[in-house]
Amino acid sequence: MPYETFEHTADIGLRIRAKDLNRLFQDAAEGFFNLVTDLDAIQKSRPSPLHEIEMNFQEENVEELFMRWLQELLFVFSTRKSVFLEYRFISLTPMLLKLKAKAARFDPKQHVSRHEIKAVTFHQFHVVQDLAGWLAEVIFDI
Amino acid sequence: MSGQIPLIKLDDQRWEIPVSYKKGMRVPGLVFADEKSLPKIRTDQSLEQVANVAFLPGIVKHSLAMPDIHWGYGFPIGGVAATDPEQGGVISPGGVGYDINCGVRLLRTNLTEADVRPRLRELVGALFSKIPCGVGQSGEINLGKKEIRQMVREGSGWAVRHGYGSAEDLSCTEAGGCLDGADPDAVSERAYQRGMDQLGTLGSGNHFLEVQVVDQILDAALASKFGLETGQVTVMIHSGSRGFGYQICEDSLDATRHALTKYKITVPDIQLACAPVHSPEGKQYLAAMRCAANFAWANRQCLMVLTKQVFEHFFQRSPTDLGMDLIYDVAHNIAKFEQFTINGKTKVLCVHRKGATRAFAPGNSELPEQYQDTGQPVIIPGDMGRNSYLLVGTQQAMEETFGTCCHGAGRAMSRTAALKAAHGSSIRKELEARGIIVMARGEKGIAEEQPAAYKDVNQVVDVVSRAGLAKKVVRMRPIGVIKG
Repeated sequence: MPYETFEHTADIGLRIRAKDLNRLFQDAAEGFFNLVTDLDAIQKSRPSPLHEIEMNFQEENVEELFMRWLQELLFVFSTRKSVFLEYRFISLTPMLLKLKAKAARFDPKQHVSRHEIKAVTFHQFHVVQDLAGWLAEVIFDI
Repeated sequence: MSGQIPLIKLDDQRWEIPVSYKKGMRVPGLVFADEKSLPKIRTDQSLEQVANVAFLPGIVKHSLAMPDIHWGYGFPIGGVAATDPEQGGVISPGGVGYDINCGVRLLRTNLTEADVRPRLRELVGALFSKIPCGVGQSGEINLGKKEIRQMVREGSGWAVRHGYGSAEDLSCTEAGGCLDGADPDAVSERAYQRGMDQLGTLGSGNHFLEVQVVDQILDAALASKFGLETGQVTVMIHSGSRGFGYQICEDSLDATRHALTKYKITVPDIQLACAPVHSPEGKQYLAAMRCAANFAWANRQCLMVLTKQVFEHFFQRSPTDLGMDLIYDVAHNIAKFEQFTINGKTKVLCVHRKGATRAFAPGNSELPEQYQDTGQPVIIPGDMGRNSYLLVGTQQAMEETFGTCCHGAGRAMSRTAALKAAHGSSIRKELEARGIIVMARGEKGIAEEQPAAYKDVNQVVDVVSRAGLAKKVVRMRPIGVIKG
């Protein structure tokens, strides 16, 4: 598993290990969508048509960039019910993200409901790089 | 873990974290708990968070923790802190939480369990199909941009003006269902987008709607004043400001994070980011937070009206005949300016209640006429298998906790641990065997919210009652539950 959940009394944490930034960001997104719904089931059902979502933002460092990424995922899910199925990172550095994603529309009548994520918290939030690659931990308010 | 934190026993319900525990604490911590519950409390980081809250500039008397305390973000859930704006006191979005004005309302009915029990499953099914709940569910109340701005300025009053309830409901809602000073211009476009389709939706997680039965009268005189007797059916609704409030908290944490350097404030946890009440950042948050509080009151008002419509249609009885009146609505995630006497001086303080309920004593000018003698109704939900309570506020709470008591049972088990402990379907069956019908969008949600995941609300309320922070009136037990 490229990511795993960990415990917090009322909420849920996500721990992601990845060899590079692209994997870190994509695995985090997949972990996020799997907390909300059954992402694999949506992928297997091959919904169509998919819609395209573009993102383009800069932050001061990789932690801020990663936090912004998760906040943007939460925002597009909350407002457009979008679940990302395909990722194309046009540019991804520790301070810049440019992405074109293909997304399916979440339908509460058809798809599995898991957690309504209220927010991405800063509580014990960190992104670090070591010899093995990248490690990120984040707790979501449920 | 909070295992090593020194706790000085003051009496059987009160424990102090001395100001010497951590350099930077401005006041001691005061934890309300009994000896039995302390080992569990010590298993997470909530006591450390009580100490951290004591760092906030302008904090008055104590960093308080109610007996349902558990690990939160910045503040513990069950945390209370009052700051003095005239002494550099701050406002902290973390002291309110992401779900701004998450709260509970309680309705009485003229129905008895005997009226409901034979058709309980159909009633819960009717509620489940009418009340939007769960991940990604939109409400039926469509708001344009102009309307949502008006709604967040007016709160419950907007709902009543649009046919959702009556003027009497407003007097039975904390703050009349509207905080003054809500400024729609202080709210981000993103928050409006997240809230646009969510008015009249229950949400997910620990939010719920319960059909309950009064199972114990604990103060006959007070119960009679609230029109409650044993066997009577009540309805409890737990929800908040939905995506609108979550986004406002996120926006404000970002702004106050950057304000820490500007105002030379040191806090041990970034989730305690804050700004002086009188600063532009503080004022901005307060103006936006009040909009979210008003959204939540309008939301619970609409949810209540949807519930009443289901009951009227289901039982084919008129509203008067059903007697579904609002007893009270309380916020348990909020910051408000309230007047207290501190060392003989009257002060207006900024009281943060994060998972804590206002519990004002009889005679308080903020209470409506009908509750002047009883004290403020305090509604404490438990888990879906045990009990909930109606209490009233006391003078002791006014003097010791800024008129505050606990807000619920408090979690005892993480969501992952709860999932490992049981499957949703088996919890559903167990509850059914005990006469409780549960309907939820996801089976996992039921497992995560199972009774064993929570502390026993009866013990929590006992501590509050023995400490004199609130007085028990009646106890309810659930018979029907809908969850997101």
